[in-house]
Amino acid sequence: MDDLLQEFIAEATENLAVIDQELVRLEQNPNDAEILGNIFRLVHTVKGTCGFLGLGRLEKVAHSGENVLGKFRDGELDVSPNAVTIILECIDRIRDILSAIEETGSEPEGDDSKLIKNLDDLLLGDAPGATAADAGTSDISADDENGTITMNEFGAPVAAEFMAEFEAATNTAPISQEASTPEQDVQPEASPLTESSSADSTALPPCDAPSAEEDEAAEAAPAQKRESVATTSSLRINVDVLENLMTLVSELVLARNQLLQMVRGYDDHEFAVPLQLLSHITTDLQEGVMKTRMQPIGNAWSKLPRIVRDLSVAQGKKIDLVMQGAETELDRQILDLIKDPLTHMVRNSADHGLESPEDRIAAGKPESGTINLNAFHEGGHIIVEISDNGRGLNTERIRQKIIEKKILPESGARALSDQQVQQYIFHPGFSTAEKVTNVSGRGVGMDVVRTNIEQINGSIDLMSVQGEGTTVTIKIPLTLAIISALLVKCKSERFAIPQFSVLELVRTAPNSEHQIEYIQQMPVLHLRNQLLPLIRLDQLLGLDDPDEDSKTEDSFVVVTKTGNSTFGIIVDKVFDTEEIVVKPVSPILRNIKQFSGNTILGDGSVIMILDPNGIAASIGDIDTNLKTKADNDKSASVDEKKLPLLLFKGEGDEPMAVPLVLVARLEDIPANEIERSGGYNLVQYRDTLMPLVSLGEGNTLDERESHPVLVFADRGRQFGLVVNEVLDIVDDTINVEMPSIRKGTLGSAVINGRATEVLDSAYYIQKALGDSFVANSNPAAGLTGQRPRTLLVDDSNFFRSLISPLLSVEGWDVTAVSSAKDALALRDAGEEFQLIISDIEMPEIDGFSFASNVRNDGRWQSTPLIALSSKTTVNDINRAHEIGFTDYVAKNDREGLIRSIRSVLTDKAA
Amino acid sequence: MQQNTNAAVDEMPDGESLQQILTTTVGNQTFGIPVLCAQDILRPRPIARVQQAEAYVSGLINLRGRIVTVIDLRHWLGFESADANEQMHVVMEFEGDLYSFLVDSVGDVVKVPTAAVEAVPPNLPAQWRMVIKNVLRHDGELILIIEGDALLTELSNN
Repeated sequence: MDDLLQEFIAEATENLAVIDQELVRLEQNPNDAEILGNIFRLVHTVKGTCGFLGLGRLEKVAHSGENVLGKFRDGELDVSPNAVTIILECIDRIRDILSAIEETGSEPEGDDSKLIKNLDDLLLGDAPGATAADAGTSDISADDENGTITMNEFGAPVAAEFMAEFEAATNTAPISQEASTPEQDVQPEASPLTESSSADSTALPPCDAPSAEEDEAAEAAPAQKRESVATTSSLRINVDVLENLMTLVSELVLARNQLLQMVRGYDDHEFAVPLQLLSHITTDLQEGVMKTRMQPIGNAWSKLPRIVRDLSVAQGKKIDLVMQGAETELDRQILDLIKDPLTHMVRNSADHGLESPEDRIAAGKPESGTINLNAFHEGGHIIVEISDNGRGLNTERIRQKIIEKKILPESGARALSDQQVQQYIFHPGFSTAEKVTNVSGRGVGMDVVRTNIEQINGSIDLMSVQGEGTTVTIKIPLTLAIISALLVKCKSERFAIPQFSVLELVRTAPNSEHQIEYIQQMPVLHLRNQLLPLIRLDQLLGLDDPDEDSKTEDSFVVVTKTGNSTFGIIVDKVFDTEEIVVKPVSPILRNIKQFSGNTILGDGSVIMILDPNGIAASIGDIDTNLKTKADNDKSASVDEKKLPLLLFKGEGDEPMAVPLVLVARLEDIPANEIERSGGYNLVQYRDTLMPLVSLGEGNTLDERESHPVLVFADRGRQFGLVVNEVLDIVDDTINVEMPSIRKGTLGSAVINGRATEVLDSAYYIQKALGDSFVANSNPAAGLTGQRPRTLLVDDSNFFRSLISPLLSVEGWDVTAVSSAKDALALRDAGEEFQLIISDIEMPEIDGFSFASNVRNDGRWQSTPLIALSSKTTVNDINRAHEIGFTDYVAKNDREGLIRSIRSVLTDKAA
Repeated sequence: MQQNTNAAVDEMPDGESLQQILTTTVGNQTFGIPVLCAQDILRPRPIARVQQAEAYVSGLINLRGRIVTVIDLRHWLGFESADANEQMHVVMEFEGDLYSFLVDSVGDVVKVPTAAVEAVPPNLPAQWRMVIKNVLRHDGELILIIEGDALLTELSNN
């Protein structure tokens, strides 16, 4: 309310100054309807506003004045000097009261009955006689003594100071558009008051609300008068003037930069001092002009309390809206752009986020929900947080929506982590409101919000905990016109990257701490335990590559963050940062999404500004593929506990890892013990011949004295995997972040702080102990017996590869397929298995459907069926048993699986 | 821009109107640009390339603090490309943005009667008809009138 009051005072003071002059003009041209109209409207506004603000004394005075003015306007009363004097007195009184309010923040005590009586007399008495005039004058003089003295001693100076402070604090008053809004808003609110108070004084005709023409006329009149208003220290300036000034300053900044560029490198020159001065002044000027555009974010919030109130009434919810940091300033252009997104999100919180009081009490929460708006500065950005303590996002429902809307296949949606699922509410056409209310769910959703925010180079993040609430964090730049940009060079071209999206710069060189690693030709950087996808700018933009060896050259990685992805851009060189004026590209270039604009540098050259969002999108195909795959594997192994991993060097220097449980022993085998036979490298090991395979597809060993060998045991049979060097055994999780297409590896993960390839042991078992080998193998090894066959159905390559060797170790002949469809094809092809192990969550046909199919029909009706799933709710387990699964094992419980297999077989045998 | 074109029409004493046309050559052909459409004529200057842009966009130049998008007329019209560092720029303004058309050389300004303007023959290639709407006969030579607006409208909409 305080802000409102200050705004009101600023405006009213301005209006009063105009009224003074208008009244004088009126005296000279008593019949000028236009002038009368203006005065009436101004007083009416004052009256209306003070009614609204609860300033009763002021309202009464203004009301009486307005009545007289109304009569003037309607021609029922002559504009006599006496009458004008009384009106002027009334205006003075209003001014006195206003300045007192300015000082103290509340209405001063005082008796206006005489003045009001004078005004009323004027109204009633058809001719204000000498007595009235005398009374009027004497009153005036009496009042003058009180009034003017205060004015002179305290009122005026204090007022000026106050105004200055007020402006410094808000900067709103001078900007006409914004400042005039409250006035317009207030008027309709005030009119009922007008009517009711008019009704009280029966003698008066009801005051008409000012007509549109009057409004216009009034708007024009103050504009003409404004220059002569000396008493107010704030002015309203047309936005266009400011915009123009801004453009000029931008050009000045450019010219300054140009000058600086020219003298850069000359340490000692005669221009140094004046140039420095020019530079400082330019910077100050730029800041000053920027300031004129700055507005408190509270302006964008002003309507929210009302919206929230209406919503809470409409929906029977109790909602507290807490707003913090309303004074945080940002560019009015940006303010305009975020107004709607903010409103939308607060609506969302009120509509979807917060529960009804009954639900809240049931959930053990306080009856009234809270929506928190918080704005603050952080490193050249404004952060706006909108949080509620409501029910949070229902990730399960979003998942269903993703599947329903066919945004992702079911398996894909199931594989997403909750955090990832939540991001889908930014997907176009996504609204999870179960019923479409008049508040939200009208198809305009969070996607529009995100687009709007990203348009202004902002980013939006969402965090939600089911049952506890949702927090949306918006990060927006302070201004759009001039940004700080990092200049980089790639090949022969220079580019600007907006500084706000740059997280850090990493210098990379071969054999240095940070080096660019390649996974299937995709560059990655391992930075503080995170695998960062890299984008080669030259490739992305199709820049000429005159130097083929550039891969090994020193280069820089610009670590960039947009919305929800972080990636690195590989460039050749990084220059310094420069303030640039963002200019939009011409429409015929607007389809190039990698650029957000262009600019002219200090040296006069034109360069393109890279758009991190666009770049992220243009690699999106690759990126999302990688991500989805990686996420699949990740979520599949999310519930993996840490397991001991053996780290070793494979063919080259890159580290590889294999779960230690699969490795029987580590040996160092002298080269001279290795024999070659039947195309295999063999070694006599513990009285049997053990095949040795090397990594990769070939089977040759390099020359050296001895070879480190990992011995894998497979039901009495064993083989050795020749590696370069055994490194370490660590406890870690395998989160495959980059899938592999290379045979023999499952993909890459960060293990022990490095990008590490995970060995696909199943591949090497096949390679070493394939059917051909079995046929050739030494019967003395005890391989004659027919091994029981098991069928493993799992869509996750990772799991198939992890479990197949386990089963092999248990003595099974494992056939692994990636889908239920493939499995059923095997059944129809007449394959026989003693055991079937199936995943539950699979694309197309899930485990349940697969099981019921198997049980209902075909030759596998009595084959034991074990479900292997990461979902182990009671419901799932019951359902599995109903459908015909013999047992149900959690995916991460390998011991459990082995036990289950054994018991299933025992039962069957029994 | 259309208005400008009209403004370039002079009234002759006998009532016949004249149009001022800047002649230029691109490839082996003479083209005309209505004088009042041409905001600037610039000497060859370095052009900043724009990666991923359509091939007919040569790049960007800086004209007194404003960025001008350079359009390679040779490419658009299907001529072999020339060294842009030797080509002249004819700068036009279109919907608030500046564009430059690269031409091989700039000739004289000729005054021709408006009546001499004929419609472009329909057998010209489509690319040509997008930028050329009228043909003039002057001193026994055919001058194809380039209408930047027509082309830029087309390009901006795509």
